[in-house]
Amino acid sequence: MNLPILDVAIGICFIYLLLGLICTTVNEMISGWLKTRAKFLEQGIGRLLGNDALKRALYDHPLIRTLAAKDGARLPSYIPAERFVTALTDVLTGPGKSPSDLAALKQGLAAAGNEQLNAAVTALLDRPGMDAAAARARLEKWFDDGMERVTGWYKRNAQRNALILACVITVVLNADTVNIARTLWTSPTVRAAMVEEAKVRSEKARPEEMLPTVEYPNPQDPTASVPVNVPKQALTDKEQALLGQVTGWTDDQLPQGGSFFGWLWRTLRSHLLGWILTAIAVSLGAPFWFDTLSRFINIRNAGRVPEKGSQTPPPAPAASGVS
Amino acid sequence: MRKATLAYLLIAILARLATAGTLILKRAWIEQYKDRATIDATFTTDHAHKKPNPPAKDGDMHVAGRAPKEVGLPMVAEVMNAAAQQQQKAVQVIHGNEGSGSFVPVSGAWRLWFEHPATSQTQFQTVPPAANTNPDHSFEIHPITKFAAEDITGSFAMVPGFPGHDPKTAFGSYEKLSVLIHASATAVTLDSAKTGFNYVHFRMHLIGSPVKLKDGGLAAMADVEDDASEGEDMLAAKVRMIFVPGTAPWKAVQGKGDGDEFTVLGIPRVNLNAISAFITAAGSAAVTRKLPYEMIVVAVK
Repeated sequence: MNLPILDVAIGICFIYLLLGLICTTVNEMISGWLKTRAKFLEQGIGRLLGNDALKRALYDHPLIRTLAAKDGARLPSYIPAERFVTALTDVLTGPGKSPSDLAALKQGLAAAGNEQLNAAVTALLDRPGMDAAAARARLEKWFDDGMERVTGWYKRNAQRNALILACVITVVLNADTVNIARTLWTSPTVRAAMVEEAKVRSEKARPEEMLPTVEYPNPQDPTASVPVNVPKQALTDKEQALLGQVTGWTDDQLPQGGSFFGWLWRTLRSHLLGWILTAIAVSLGAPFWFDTLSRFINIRNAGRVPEKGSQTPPPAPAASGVS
Repeated sequence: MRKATLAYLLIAILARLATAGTLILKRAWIEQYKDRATIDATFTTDHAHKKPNPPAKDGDMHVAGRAPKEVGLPMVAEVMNAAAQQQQKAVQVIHGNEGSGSFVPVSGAWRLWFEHPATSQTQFQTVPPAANTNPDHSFEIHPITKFAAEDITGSFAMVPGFPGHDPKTAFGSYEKLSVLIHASATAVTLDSAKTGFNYVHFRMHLIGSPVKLKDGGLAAMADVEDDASEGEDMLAAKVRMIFVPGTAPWKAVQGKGDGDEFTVLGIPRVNLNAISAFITAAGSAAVTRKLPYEMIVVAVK
């Protein structure tokens, strides 16, 4: 099936896929640098304890300090509930007392002068027949519930970051969907080159193949998986060149010495809609656009004799008839 | 320009077909089950198939229900080879339990797979009773090994007349899947596109000896080859194979090791051992990874 409209759709999907790959790479780099997860965890624990001094004492406890990724890094990104409870009760009961000593825990709470924590823990533990094991279970549940909120903050933050990053990349590269579609529609040469490279990408370089996976280095131990960080080359040289043909800023699109606000108004008027479409699309992620691109390529190839060796499996069926 | 807009709308419509599912699991739950073949749950049946699927389709019987203590997700349990005489007592017990609201012990292979995903599901939130035999779900006990007192480990056998999926297509699809993982201190969010290809026949070429799992099951690393081909074209390398205790495949691989080959029927599931490794390594980052899968070997030829 050789329809210009289908080729335009393939070209747009391909550009979204390339922008999505750039977005994914940059997002992971930023998340790693900023240690976002650890900071959210610290904020959540601060809110739970209601006291900075107690939070610092908890983070300095050997059980928590050793969870940090490396020496000198104070903030771990994950604290198991049982470690949190052991460290907290140990800090509160003080030296020489067992963390499971409920009387010492209550004394420690009173001495800490932290009304919020005192009220919360008293409400949890002040029940008839409460023993050390039951107290521990209730404190672990309290921690888990508190951390659920942290999960919500983190997820909302990650989604927002993905969209912000997609917006930034869209504007920096001037990736205007309307312009891209117009270029593809009016230039058969660019369109043909884009479709050819999209086919190469869909057949040979799936985003998932560039994704880190796990390996079991010792086949005799199928419980010891190790993440394998496959080196990522987001785009090939050809893809970068094609991206440059439909995106980017030309000299006459940049401020030419007149009023900046006038330039800004003209730019927004001609690009805003296209940028919004691109940013929303890119925030859906590269794997999503790879799947969509594969569907279009399959439609385009429908009716043709398959080339030898090209056996791209079809996407998962909507319903396989089983389960 | 109007045609370019039409092209954009075409993209939007087709893109909707790749609907994604979000699953939020307890991190402790992942750690508990990452190296187990099975799960033991306390389960109540909401709806069950009146009759099992015909063997030519897959021979399964769907049992939709809830296990709020151990699973805490909308779920379906499935009896393999349910039309066979040996499973009839269990099928009767299931129908006796259906809609009663009483909880009975159910064991079997746990299975996470985004085959019938909901937009979003959070583990251990209140799960409403299933409205039919196939509610939106990403968790299954499939196949069941024991329902109440009825042991049906014998159901782990080839389904007569059922062709299964072509291994080239199925493993080609599994190898293309990806998952977005967000880990917090206590929960892990998995975002995945819809998956498929439930039952698949293939040749399993062991590259290591089976190792005992925490529940007595076995895990072994193996390369996957096309069982219909005489050659040794590898479809997937180093895939973790899971064997459920007491079943025929579990017995067949006892004492076997590197180089041994079996023609088997398998069901894919998310590999929680690998998910655990990803979230440990990723630390603060939300990451997109190849969806790690492993195969529950449910029958051996």
